[in-house]
Amino acid sequence: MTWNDDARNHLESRLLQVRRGLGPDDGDPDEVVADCRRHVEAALLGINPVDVAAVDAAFARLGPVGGATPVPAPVTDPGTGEAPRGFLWWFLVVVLPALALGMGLLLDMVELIPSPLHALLIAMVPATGVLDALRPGGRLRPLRALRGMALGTSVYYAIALAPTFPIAVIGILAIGLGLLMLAPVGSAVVLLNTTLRDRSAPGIRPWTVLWAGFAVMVLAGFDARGVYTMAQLDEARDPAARPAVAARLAVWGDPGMVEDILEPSGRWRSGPVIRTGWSGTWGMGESDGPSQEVAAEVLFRMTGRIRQGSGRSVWWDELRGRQTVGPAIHGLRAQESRIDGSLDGDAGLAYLEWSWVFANDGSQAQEARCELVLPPEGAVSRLTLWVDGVPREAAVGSRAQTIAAYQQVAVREQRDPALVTTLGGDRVLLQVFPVPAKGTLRVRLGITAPMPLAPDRARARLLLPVVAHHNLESLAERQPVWLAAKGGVGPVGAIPAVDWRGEAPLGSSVLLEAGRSATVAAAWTPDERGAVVQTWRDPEPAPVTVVIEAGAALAPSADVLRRDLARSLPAARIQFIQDEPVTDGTPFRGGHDGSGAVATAVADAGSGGTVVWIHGPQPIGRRGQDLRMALDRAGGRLVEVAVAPGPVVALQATDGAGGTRSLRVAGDQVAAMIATLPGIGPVPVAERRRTAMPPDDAVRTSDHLVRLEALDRIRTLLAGMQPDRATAQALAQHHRLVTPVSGLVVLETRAQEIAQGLTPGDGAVPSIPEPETWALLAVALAALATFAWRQRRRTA
Amino acid sequence: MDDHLTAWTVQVRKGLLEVLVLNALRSAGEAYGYDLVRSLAGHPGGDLGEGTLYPLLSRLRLQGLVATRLVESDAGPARKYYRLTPAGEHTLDAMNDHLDTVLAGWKRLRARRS
Repeated sequence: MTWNDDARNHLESRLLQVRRGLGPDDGDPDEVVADCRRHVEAALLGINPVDVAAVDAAFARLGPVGGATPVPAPVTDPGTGEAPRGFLWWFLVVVLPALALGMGLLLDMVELIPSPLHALLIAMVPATGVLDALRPGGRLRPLRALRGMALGTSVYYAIALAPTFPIAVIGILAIGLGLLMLAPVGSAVVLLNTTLRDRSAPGIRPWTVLWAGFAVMVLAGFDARGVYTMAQLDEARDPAARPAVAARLAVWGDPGMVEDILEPSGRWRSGPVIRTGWSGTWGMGESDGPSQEVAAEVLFRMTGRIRQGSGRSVWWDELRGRQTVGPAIHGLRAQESRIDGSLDGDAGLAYLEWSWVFANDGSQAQEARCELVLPPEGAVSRLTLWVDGVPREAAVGSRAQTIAAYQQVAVREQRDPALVTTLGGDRVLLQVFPVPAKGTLRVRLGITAPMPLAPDRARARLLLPVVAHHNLESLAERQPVWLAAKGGVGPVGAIPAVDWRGEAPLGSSVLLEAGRSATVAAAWTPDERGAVVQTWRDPEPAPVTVVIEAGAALAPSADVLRRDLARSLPAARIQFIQDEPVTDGTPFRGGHDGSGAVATAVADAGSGGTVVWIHGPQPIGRRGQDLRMALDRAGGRLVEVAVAPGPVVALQATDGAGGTRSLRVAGDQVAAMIATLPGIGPVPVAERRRTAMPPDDAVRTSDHLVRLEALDRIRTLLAGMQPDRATAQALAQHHRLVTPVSGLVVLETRAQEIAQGLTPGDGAVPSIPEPETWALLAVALAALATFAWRQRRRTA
Repeated sequence: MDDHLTAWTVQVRKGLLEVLVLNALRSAGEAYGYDLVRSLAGHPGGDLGEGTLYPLLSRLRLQGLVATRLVESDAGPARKYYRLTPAGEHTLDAMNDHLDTVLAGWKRLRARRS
């Protein structure tokens, strides 16, 4: 006897009708249905194939069953089952899950509803409840699929949240709250019970179980990556394990989840659910989760990116007053920035003023922090803060004094300070507070820098200062630059102008060239004891080791870098590193702590060698002290070249170690830029000395030359194994320079500065006239010239 | 009037069906559903289909008055045989006695009138 599908389904439908028609006096429904089935099957013996008509004929011979009269059965869903759809059904399958979903979304419980997929699956529970109760006709398969997924989702969440049930029960008994936490177990029990009671419809149970399994697999699959990520992060509590953990997570980890630990406000990117329940994140044990420090390092090692963020809302900035930039703060931005400068090409000397207006759109006063890369060998020699519209010059003091004074005023008293300190190499940190809520704050930095000469000595070069790292939500890509130079100035390849006005990127250095007379062999300026003279000597060949971080930040420019370095520094030894040295050909991926490998390279290079370290962000720097020791012992030079924004933490340990230079340039510009540095390219080496009388052929320049000579002496005093910090500090304070042993700080009043043991500012460093002033002067001169010309004509 | 008679007939039939089936079962000793249907077919009020019989037998089984056994068949589905249990025998005796008494009283009442 063979049955076609319709006939089999029809039989089941008719039997279901039989079951539904039985009354309380009609015995055991299961038995009666089984008897009817046997009867029908016996009646159909010899009929082949069995079709719907034959089934109906068999039922006709059976006659009315019990008190009911069978009617032609519609094609209804046998899967809707026979379990009652009473109060418990509506409450546990419809109302409670819907409430749980609503509350979860409303309260942003991303740990439990981490994705739209989770929300959809949870929504299937009440949706199934309603549809099942209303028993819509003609939708057999969709409904059994819905019920299966609803059951799977309920079971999964019940398992995931099982450890929280005791808390929920206690909560219900104690304060009447906690019922929602039991929602999944309630719906799971009811749906499971309903499914098990569908014995008259053999098709429903396998399908329900199949779809339930599907839902569980989907949820588990979604969570599995998160569980794996969390397990790996647990392992990463050991700093030594973090490189390996990051390598594993880079293959199958969830970077979005790690980011969520750092930026918990993110939606749809948290979880995993099972971990949330079993780790007891709800109610207890949250401290067991990975710390932000672990997550930040792992994320960096996975991606090569630092946690800059798109701006977070903070009520209290825990980094305020500290020497760390940190992530962007919501609403904080640079409204304006501009560089004005005066260049002396003949003397190879530049003085720049970098003006900033910080704005805060938030509702709390915030601290703006910017890590700046100065022109190589440059120093901050002036700091001005506008307090109530009035410019206040910075006081100078030891590094510790200025930091303490700033923290006292910024963090505790919340008044108006600004601070500039060094961060190693040519990097400095600018901190200003408060950028008032819905207000602005204006600050200006004065930068004194030498300009290395081109090999033909007919041009002096300047790398403009840039921002390496900041906590601003937005910063313009380019800023106006207005420079004046007697011999003309402009970007490389452009026509120079005496008064050059252009734009330059804020994030990567631009090389400018100022014209000079190639015959000028010396420059001088008077100082207290006579004169400071600067001369140039021809460079001596020195071994160069180029250390390239094989990380994600360098990946886009790796090929160009290899090619350009081979062309511009053919004698250089090129080495690739991650945390340790790696071979050429190692894929450029992730982020690394290169401090140890660079320390080794510096030690190997020895006293005459220069190590060029080309890297991406370096937020770890665990072996900064090793690098410091290598620099102090070997006495070599280190040039760190950042091709991406971010800090170089290891440099802070080397602050003051001799001969460390910094560049922040685009990846494809690296080779060209480093070739402009003395000691690497064929660049004349400047030498500054004090003397009683300047040479006759020397050109006179500004007193910034005195500061550069003082900087030379300070660097010498601080270098080596036995630095003379006291003398260096006195010298730095005397010349009002920001060095590893001194800082500039603006406090609100002179009295505050004196109380902090600082030397108040006296405006000794000459300022570049404001552009508005330039314009006024030009207008005034033009007016005077016109007036004089007319007078002469009248006289004539 | 016809409606009332129909309803009454159904009630009588419903009341008597149980005792008819039990008596048929006693006389057969052991029978399956179709046997019982056939054996009752000739008796007034005994015309019923398996659809009516199965729920009734199921209830009697639940009440412990009949017992069942399944006998596998090569030709088709298993056959289910029914027989009276001792309790069923006892109850059937009581039911028959009661029905005899009721019918005797009814006959007496009807004779008095005529």
